[in-house]
Amino acid sequence: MKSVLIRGALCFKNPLSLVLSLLFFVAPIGLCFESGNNMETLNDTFLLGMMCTMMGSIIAMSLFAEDDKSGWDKFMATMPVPAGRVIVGRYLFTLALVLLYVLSATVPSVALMLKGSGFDVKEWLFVFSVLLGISVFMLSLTLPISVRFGNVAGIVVSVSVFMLLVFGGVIVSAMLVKNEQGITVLGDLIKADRYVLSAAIIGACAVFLGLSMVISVSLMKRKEY
Amino acid sequence: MNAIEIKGLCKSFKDFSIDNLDLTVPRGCVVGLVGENGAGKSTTIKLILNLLRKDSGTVSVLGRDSADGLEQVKEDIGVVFDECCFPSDLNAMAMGRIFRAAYKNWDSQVYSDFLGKFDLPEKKKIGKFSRGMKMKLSIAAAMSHHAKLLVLDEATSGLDPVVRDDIIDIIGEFASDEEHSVLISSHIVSDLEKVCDYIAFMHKGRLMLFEEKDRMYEHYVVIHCTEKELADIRPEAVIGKKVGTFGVEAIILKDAVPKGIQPYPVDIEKLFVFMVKENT
Repeated sequence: MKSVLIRGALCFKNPLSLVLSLLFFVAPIGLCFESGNNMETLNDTFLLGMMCTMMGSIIAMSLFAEDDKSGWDKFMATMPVPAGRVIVGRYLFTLALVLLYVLSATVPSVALMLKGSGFDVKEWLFVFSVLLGISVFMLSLTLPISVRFGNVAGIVVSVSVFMLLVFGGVIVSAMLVKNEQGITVLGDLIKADRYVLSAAIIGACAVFLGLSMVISVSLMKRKEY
Repeated sequence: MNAIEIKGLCKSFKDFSIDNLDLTVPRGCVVGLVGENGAGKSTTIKLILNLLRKDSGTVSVLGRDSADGLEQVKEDIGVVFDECCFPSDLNAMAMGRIFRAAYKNWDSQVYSDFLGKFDLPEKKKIGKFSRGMKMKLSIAAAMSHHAKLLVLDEATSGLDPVVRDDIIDIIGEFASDEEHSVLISSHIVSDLEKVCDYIAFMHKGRLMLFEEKDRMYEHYVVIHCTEKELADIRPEAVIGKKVGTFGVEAIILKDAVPKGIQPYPVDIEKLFVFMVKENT
């Protein structure tokens, strides 16, 4: 597993510089939104955050695609590294990359909060957990697919899921906003404690990721080269 | 104990199959797997390394049945494929770090010595290496964890004669202590002739011949004769023949050479070509 993590860490320079440039450009974008109350922060920065998190997933998938294309996966199978550890290493690397991008994706929200009614940890955690949840859900679906059907299929599914989530997110955002009568469709969701919601989302992420990892390990063990 | 022992190995694909293959790599020996493109050499190697699942038969590597997994012996196996499989965005130094984490017996000094010997830059990206450099790097990686068994799949194909000669020398050196074993596949028979103790001929997924190289020289000879003279030789002694304008060139068993005909030593490439043509 260590060798998989080292392989990932050795190519971390590029995603890291991308994150830094992303922060440089993305942070001021948050300030361009009209600051309202913190409840609207998620709606205002949702699409931007999604794009940032998507970038993290795509970069991880591209790395796996490169490893597949170069034959490194095949070579790894001849090394004394059990298939399970290869998968766990990959998941950990992907998770680290996604966390990095999700954190950078919350920067516009922070900027917007600072401009409005001030930084709110609860609100920030909620934004963070929603974006993390989306990324993890996407990766949990696509990583087993890339193990079984190859990385091209993984990237195609990843992009498709992203599109679905964007449309879904826009619809949910619309439902969260008060209509003319001042009634919110998902009122209960808004009223729920943000800490509880965040914890529920992060818990669901862990379950998704764990299940996905188990499936990937079993697929990897049966993989032929 | 044999380094590799294959018995009744079968694997079927839509248009090709490995058919009841028996092959042994004795410990301390170099075995050359010869065959034309598509003969099944790479498939056999993948089956040995558990990269493909066999349909039937048994494969044992360094005393471990591959059906039980080769995790415990992978530490002792060095593998070189026909293409360099290392990520192109990394350099030789980074690869060293990865291998050090993967192999318990990784020897950074040996690796570094190999890089120096092969004149490979440590910090240049592998993607910018020539094919020869990539193959040298693959060899360096395979030799730097004190493997007991080296498996090379077409490691010399597409390389210039100088690099090929370097690689063959290194393989010869590796196997010189009678402890290390090598299975090397190639369709460049002249390379294998230099280094192998045993030669295995594969054709259309079947093993046509498996014999000690020196015994091949003892058993078979080349003769030039007429078709009538060849017809007088017992058919089972004729391995292969080529009819030309000026007569027949044939490879036959040494004890079947008719009186009055001059036998010439056989070279393995010719033996292989004649056998394949006879069986096509």
